[in-house]
Amino acid sequence: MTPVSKIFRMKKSRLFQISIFLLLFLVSCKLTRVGGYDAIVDKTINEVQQQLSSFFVNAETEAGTEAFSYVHYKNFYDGLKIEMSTLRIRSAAVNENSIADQEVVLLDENTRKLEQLHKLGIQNYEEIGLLKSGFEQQLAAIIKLQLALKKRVKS
Amino acid sequence: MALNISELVKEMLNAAKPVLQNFWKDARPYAEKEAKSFALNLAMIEKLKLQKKISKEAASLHVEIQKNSFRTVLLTIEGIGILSVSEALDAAIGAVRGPVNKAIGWALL
Repeated sequence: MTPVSKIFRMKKSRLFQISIFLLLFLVSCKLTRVGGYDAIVDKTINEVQQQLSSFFVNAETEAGTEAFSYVHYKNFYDGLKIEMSTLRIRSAAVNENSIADQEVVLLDENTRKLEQLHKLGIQNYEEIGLLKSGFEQQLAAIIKLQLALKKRVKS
Repeated sequence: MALNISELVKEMLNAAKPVLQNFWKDARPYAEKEAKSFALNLAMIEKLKLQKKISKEAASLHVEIQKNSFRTVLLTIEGIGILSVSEALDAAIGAVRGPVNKAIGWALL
């Protein structure tokens, strides 16, 4: 092997090492963007999901009746606000501005909009169906990411 | 000992490929299903408006809720995608860790 090809081979090897470290650095930056797993955030999300599921079970039977008016659900919204506040604070502390945290912020926005709609008066069964579908889609997506984060911690 | 770059690249790609393939296989049907659900919900809001069963203010809140839900789905797909890339990279690095560390002489990988 000539000295020139020796140097070239060494340079190629060095370039490979630098590429690997650069790649590792970029991936670790991207991972920070996703956020880390936190058991309390995960648990609180599941509690919010249970509260909303119970709400929709009641809503499906009570929609359009006096029993479904906002005044009868004030305690539900107060409880939900406390739960969401705990979730937002914890999520921001663990993963501020990460994808996982942005999802919590979007869930919080949706629970506030649900309350606004209820104050306006949810008149029919179709509206309940829309809300249920939207929240199920959102909660399923959040839980899916939480499971992926949990799996990464375990592996 | 000099590293065989093309051999290393081949080994890394072989290790990473199944992970990334699984990601696309899983993500595509999920994205399609949720996009369809989003579109159906928007169509329902339009139907309720045409039937005069919903006010403009209520329709606007419904649309915002649906948009936030679909945005969450897209964020999850992005997040799982990043985690899959990281998993693929771990597999790729794992496949060449031994020979690379041996060639360099330090346990760097």
